[in-house]
Amino acid sequence: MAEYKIKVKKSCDAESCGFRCQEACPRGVFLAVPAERHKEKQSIYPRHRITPRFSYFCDGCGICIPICPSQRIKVVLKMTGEKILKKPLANK
Amino acid sequence: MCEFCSEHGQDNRWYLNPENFSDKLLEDPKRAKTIEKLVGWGIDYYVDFTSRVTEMVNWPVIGKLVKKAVDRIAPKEHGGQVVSLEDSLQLLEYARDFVLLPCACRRLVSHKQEMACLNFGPVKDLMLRYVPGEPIEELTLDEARKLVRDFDRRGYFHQVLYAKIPFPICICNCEERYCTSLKQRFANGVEVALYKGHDVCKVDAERCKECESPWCASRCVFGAISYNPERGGVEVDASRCFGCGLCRGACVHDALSLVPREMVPQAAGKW
Repeated sequence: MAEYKIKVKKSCDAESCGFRCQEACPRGVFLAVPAERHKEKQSIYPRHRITPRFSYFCDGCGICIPICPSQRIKVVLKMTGEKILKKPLANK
Repeated sequence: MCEFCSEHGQDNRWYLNPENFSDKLLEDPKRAKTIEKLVGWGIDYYVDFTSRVTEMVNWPVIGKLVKKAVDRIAPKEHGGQVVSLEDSLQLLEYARDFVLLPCACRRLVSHKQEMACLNFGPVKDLMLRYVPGEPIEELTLDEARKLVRDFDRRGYFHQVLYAKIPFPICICNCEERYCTSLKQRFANGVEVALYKGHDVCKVDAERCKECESPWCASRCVFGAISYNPERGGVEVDASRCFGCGLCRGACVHDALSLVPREMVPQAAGKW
């Protein structure tokens, strides 16, 4: 079974591009997470970075790749065994 | 009845027990701390932390232990359960101080600002104290009811969120693309992130007429409804149904209804 692994480079600065990959992804794969620790944050509004936390839902459309202005996203196709079949499947 | 109801429901659904909305429950310091953690932009840290932990459930060696720990700890912290429109409207009767806030899931998953998080109880005061600049819309009971109906029409499923069971603090109106609880459940099999509702959808086969492309099936967030061309109607997989009831609004023949989960053997006891 096919599973897609998404890699976002650490140098990604999603705040500056306006979270384009998030807005474009039709499956909601990317999660914005605070870039600094709770205790260390400078203001009540933390800066965010992007992580592909829900890559399970990626269907490999690849829309995030050209949309990233600094080419910091990679989508890799992985073939997996039965383990993934045991998970409850989402709608599509 | 789910485990929450048998413990906190007093022969009713836990979120329809007026005692569970009492301010006395806020005297529990752990609960107060949980609510403070969740309010405002603290939720960003919370979603990051929980989604990271639930990912660990899939890890080879410690996965089972993490799952056990999550199942035990989550009800003491924060989680949700799918509710139908009727239950949402009824539980609003017992709540107070309604405020509409921007949905954190939409903001974190798609950088989208949408006022869709209907909070009540202590949240209003805490929001004003911790994040005074955040958009916040105060609502009356009638406005809150109208809003929930409107969300239902738009196809947003409802879930009641608690801050340390059994204290409901929010009705979340979400969509498949954005809901982080739903994603944690589907991707990692963590049921406690989003419990199934107390009802299950049932099809009246006589009323279900052949639709060319059944809207109810495409509206179902959980993939429980499918079209059966041989019978010329839709079928519900009760084991996948979460009981949100959104499909009912999509059926022009009035063929779909909700029945209690215990009455359907395929779904009974599966939360």
